[in-house]
Amino acid sequence: MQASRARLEREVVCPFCALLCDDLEVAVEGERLAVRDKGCARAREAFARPLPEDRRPRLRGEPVPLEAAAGRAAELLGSAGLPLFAGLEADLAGLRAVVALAERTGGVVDPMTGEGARAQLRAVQRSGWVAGTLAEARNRPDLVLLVGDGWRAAAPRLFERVLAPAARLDERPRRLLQLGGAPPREPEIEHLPCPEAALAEQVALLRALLRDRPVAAPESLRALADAIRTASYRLLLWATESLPAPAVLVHHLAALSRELNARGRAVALPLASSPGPVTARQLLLWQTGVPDPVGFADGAPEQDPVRWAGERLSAEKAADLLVWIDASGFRPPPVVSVPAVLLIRAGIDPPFVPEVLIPIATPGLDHPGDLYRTDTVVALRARGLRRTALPSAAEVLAAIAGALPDPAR
Amino acid sequence: MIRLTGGRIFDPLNGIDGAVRDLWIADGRIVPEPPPGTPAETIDVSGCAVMPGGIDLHSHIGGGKVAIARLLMAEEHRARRESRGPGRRAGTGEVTPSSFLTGYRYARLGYTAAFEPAMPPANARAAHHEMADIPLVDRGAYVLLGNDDFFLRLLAEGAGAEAIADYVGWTLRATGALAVKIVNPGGIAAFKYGQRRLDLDERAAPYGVTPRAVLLALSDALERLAVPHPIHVHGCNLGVPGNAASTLATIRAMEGRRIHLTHLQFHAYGSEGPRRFSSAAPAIAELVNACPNVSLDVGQVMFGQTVTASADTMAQFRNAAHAHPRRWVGMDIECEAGCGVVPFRYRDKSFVNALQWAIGLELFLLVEDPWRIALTTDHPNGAAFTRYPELVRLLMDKDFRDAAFARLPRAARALSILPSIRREYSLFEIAILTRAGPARLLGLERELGHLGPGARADVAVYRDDPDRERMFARAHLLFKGGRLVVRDGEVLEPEPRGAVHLVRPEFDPAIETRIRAFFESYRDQRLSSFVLGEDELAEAGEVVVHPCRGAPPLPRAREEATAP
Repeated sequence: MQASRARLEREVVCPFCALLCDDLEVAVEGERLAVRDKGCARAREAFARPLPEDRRPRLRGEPVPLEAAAGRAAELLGSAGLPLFAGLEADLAGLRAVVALAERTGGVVDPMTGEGARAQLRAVQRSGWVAGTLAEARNRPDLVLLVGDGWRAAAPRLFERVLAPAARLDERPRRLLQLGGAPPREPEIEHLPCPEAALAEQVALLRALLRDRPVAAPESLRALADAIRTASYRLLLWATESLPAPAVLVHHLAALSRELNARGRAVALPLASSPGPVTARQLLLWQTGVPDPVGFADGAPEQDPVRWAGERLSAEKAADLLVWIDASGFRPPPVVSVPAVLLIRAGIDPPFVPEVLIPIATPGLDHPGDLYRTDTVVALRARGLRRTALPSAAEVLAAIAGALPDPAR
Repeated sequence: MIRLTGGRIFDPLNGIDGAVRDLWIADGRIVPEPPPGTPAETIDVSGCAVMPGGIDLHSHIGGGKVAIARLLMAEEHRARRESRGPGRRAGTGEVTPSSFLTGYRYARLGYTAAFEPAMPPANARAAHHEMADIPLVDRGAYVLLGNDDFFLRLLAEGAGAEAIADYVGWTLRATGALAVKIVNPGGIAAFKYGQRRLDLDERAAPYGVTPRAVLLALSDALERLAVPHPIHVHGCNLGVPGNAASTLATIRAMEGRRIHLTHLQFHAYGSEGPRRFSSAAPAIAELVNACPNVSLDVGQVMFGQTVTASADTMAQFRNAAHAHPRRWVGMDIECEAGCGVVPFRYRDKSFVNALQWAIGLELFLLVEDPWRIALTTDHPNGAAFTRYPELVRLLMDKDFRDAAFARLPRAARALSILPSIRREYSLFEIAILTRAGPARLLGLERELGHLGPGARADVAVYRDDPDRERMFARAHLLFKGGRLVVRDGEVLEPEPRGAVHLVRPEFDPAIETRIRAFFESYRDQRLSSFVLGEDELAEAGEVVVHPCRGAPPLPRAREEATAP
């Protein structure tokens, strides 16, 4: 390694999960990035992923200039009946461009992060909840209930940053409990085994116990209920996208977060896996007034979790064009049989040869970008670390919008 | 150059009360009358009232709690959907309109500036993102302090006025804020420890400080920093019957220091009468009238469905029992603040809601000095800002007000002196309440809220109409920065983005060492990712930095009003 020629960037914001850690040390040498300190395994891999030699956009696999790719994408959008804008792994500037384009072309905007995210929205919209942010979760709780073990994959540094941090404002001793999932490797976390299929039922039962309902429940669950009852600040934490039976689970967890506040305090903190969809939901809420999935089919925004669900629209070919945006290389696009325009992180090979493929830059690595954390309250600006000629999602979408047949429409 | 001719000018900051004069606009500003023969586009506005663009000094238009409010108001976002038009963006919503619609609707009313009054520091970047997407109005935000652990610790350990002022100054800069807001001083933090009530001199968990100490410390800090707008206070016990005692005590606690009491209607409740709920507006107005250091906005309630969104988790937890529809969200925020969102329907047949309505109007009519009282509904908490025209008519038209009062339940009527108040506001006074006054209270009067040469050419023209609700519902013309953006209530030019207004006070940067240590240890965030860069704000349009020369005095007017 020619470490001497590398520049060390400190306090780097990591865009690769919705915790948005901002303490990374990254060595920058030309286009090569290497996490030197603080990053998790995912960050180390994602920062280090090399950029390919060939970064040209492609039409059906054939390299073309950006103008040609944008022009073809515009042509497809201009003739699409119902374009689906999905993935939404981008920074705020890119997502602003997505919403504007969807509005203009009568499209649908859905990150397609699955049933968990949708179930959570439904629970909040129907009955509400009491939530907390990362710093509250780090400092206040004397009891943390982890539901399932999805938290580890969703937020690799959760343990050191939130569950068992080096310093807390409140020094009351803390109990960490995990219901279900694989046995945690950290000795600080007590494990309450529960098969995945029974998790929803156990949480429902737990809620019934905490409401003093006369239910038959195993002793271990009664002990958990007692621990929760006697704690003063409880944190309920789960990873939204990996919950089994999310509709039932999130309903009960949201209800628990409200009911427990009758005595003492409680907050919920769900973890999203990536910042793009969190950012997109906040943006949609202010620009359109409604959360995802949003359809502009009749010109005005409309939230409809059934009609505009991207999974269904693409499976049934109700959407006749897929525009997939993933600037960070998080998720492969769904394999669809309709034409697709893929804007994905340079160096990621899509699982199929799309009509249009445009390699794009990654916010936080190749250019500055604003991203929202999993708690939705905190937005961070991730700065750029290196110069590449790659266009950002916002730039590509602007080029496509500029090439649409009727710019004045 | 544009010449508006024939209109009656209502420009309270320059003492002009309905005089017919020409108004000249060039390069986005009001200019003196040019030499004869200067070419200009002449617009005849005979029969119209010409005012500075409206300024809403307290309107929840940006940030996370508005997003939550929209989530909970799903029905109205389904019911009211608007498509894009020529150059216009689409959107949804009635009382929590989406950002583009918020701008269009303010413009339609002749408003050209609105200020978000409760921005948690942690949410500052997001709030600025959202407000940048509100077209046609200038904007700014008041940053929430007084419940953040860093400040409470400074106070509890007696760190001294200088350190506190440095921290306040640092926060104003770091978050791009115009002023400082306190919500339930110490109470949001105490609620995190299960405390459910807190009065002015009670001790707040976990640090044992009192709301009085919090108020005085922040007020003194702003004075030291010479920030134009004084401390913007949502006091103790919001919504609680009998809370007027706390409000009166809060005013007295200031001992002459400047204070702005926000949505005072929600803090003007007595506990008399058969239902232990009564109006304390007369007693509060009397003290306000006697205390020239106090300004306020009302937070008028208007009947109908709305949603209440507040940083006051303690109060909103109480109010959650009255949620309509039955759903609510609470949130503890980042060792700084909180938020509670509760949908609510104010019903004219409800004793309590009817009396709230009357209490708000009593405050408007009993506070004598129009320069110290601003017209607000605490959007959307008392009602959406789109209800302002009806509110203006209630203030200007006693017959209309009496007819509305007569529809209230007898029990509520029995407890209000409203019918005995003969006062009707004049157009000049309305121009103070909705333009000149807020501009002066916020320290914006160099730029906004008047029509003298040098002012930004934000000009609203209304067709005179004895039905004041109809008159103010749709501006005949609205100029934003000299551009015609509204004609007959229709938005013509949706593009221009307003400016963001803020202050950048001077402070000793040595405080940053302590702030950094706190952020890294407890919040696990680096200051480099927290502080809003000046370049970031500039990306979203013009940034207007207002000088810190202290709170302006509050005379009745700059000079004697000239009769028409």
